[in-house]
Amino acid sequence: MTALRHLLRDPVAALGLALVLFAIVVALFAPWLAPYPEDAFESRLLQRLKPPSAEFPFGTDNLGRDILSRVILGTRSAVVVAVSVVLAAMLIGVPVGLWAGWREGWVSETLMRVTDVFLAVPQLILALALGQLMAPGLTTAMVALALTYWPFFARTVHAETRRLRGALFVDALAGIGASTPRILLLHVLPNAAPAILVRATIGMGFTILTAAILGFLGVGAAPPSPDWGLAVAEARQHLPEAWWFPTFPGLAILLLVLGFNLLGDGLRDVADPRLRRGR
Amino acid sequence: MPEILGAAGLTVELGARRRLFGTRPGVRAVDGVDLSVAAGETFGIVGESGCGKTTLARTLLGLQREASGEIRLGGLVVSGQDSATARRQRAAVQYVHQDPGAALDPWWQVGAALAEGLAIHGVTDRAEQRIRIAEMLVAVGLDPALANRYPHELSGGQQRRIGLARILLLRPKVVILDEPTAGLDLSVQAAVLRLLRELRDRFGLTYLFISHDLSVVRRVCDRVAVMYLGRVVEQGRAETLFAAPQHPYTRALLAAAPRLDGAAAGPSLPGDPPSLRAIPAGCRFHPRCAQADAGCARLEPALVETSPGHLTACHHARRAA
Repeated sequence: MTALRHLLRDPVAALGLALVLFAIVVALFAPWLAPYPEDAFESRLLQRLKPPSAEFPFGTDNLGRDILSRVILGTRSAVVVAVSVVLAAMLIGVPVGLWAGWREGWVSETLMRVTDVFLAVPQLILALALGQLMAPGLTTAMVALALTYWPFFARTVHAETRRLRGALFVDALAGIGASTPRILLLHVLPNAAPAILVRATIGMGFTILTAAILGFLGVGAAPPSPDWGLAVAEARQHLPEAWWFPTFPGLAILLLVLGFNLLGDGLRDVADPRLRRGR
Repeated sequence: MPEILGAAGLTVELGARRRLFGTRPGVRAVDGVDLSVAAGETFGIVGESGCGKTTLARTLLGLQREASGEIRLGGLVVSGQDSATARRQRAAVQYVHQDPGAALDPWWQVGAALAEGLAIHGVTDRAEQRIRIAEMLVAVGLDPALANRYPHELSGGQQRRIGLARILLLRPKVVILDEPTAGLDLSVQAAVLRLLRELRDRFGLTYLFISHDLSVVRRVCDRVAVMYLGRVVEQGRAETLFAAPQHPYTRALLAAAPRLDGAAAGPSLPGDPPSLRAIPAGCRFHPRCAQADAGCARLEPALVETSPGHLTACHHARRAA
């Protein structure tokens, strides 16, 4: 609770938290919030490319669909993609980092060098290549993003484990006879958790951005699903007349990515167990 | 009293690495140490920083593997195993860290940390854990309510008591105390020492007391071994060793200790201890020794009995004594 209070005391982090919470609420209740929920898949060619008005606050797109509704509906897929990609990346990266950080030897070395290779290649290019190898689609994009994001977790956890392996309390635990799984899961992992959490939060923002880029390039979500990146891509042919078409989905991407990044930075500042219970 | 913990010819190498081609040699942090600690006594180990005190302790505990030599515990040879087996077999030996605050996981409440030790040693019943923890907290002079605190919420003295409680819950026979009074102010120091004596009598403990604070060692230890560069250079009963030190290194250490009566401290030792990578030939101490002669540079002195119950490793010991 103290951590939350510390977080809220930082206005920038509080703004990030507000943006993220807002997005999550919108994602959860998207079908009820959207004025025209059926516009996810239906088209109304008679009212195509209408500028923002009272009826359609964000205007309509090339198929006459309400952009506000599609931005709201797209929030859900953006958040789902971000959360599942980051979780999947954690599932790979955290064990790799723990193992490689704890043990010495060629297995650890190999794991970390593989991680370095993944880190050296730009994530987007790797994801594009993977996306092309498999059948294009949202699932492919998610798999590709998870497969390219785990090295960041492996690096973070590796560094934390290395630091904690030399910590006195780990030595003391070995001294009273604690087994390695116990030390790793009950002591090293919770102590590395703040770093993992910070990395995950920033990773969410990053994933949303990359997923949008993949959607823009046609490797991610396929039409007619309401995807922000896809909407920006479709809008290109109607510029500069229909300025509202790419602007609002683009703004949504910007705000959510910004929110996650600000929140991540704020979390980094408060991620310290000594602040948990100040008195 | 019978011996409870002993070592013979114990040698520990640190940092030795197997490489692709051959091995990179390590340094000998402990080099041929013989020890015999009797049940119920407080055995002091003193020496400058880096002389191998802590390495010796970790090896006796089983966290560090010995390169050669043997370790005896209660009459059985317990050396020559990997660290997991060694720790299981030497559960009767426990170690209290120099910095007890850092020896506790910052994310765990003190009570949970204490219960964990019990769980590792097979006491998994919650109610029993709680009773034993409360008892032990009282025994080390703490309020049982402290179990709900986090380590950073405790004072240095409290942390030290928690450190003691944690290992005493495991019912050890031998407790290795690494600098148990470092970083405490004098009044707290005295309280901790008093507590240590009480606990020793109450639980029938044997202490291996590692310190560089000579005044404390003099007060609490029955016997003392002085280490220099991984070797024991002098060993004897505390009162005789402090009253009539026979090794020039011990004399220099005693002379360098600050005094409360205001008398100026004696001349400190010239120079720093040599690196463990370049141990001088002959007597290890001869480059810094005032009495060294040509013989000292050639021949390493053995640790021999110079008076009853008193061992010294110096060519000049008999003459000086």
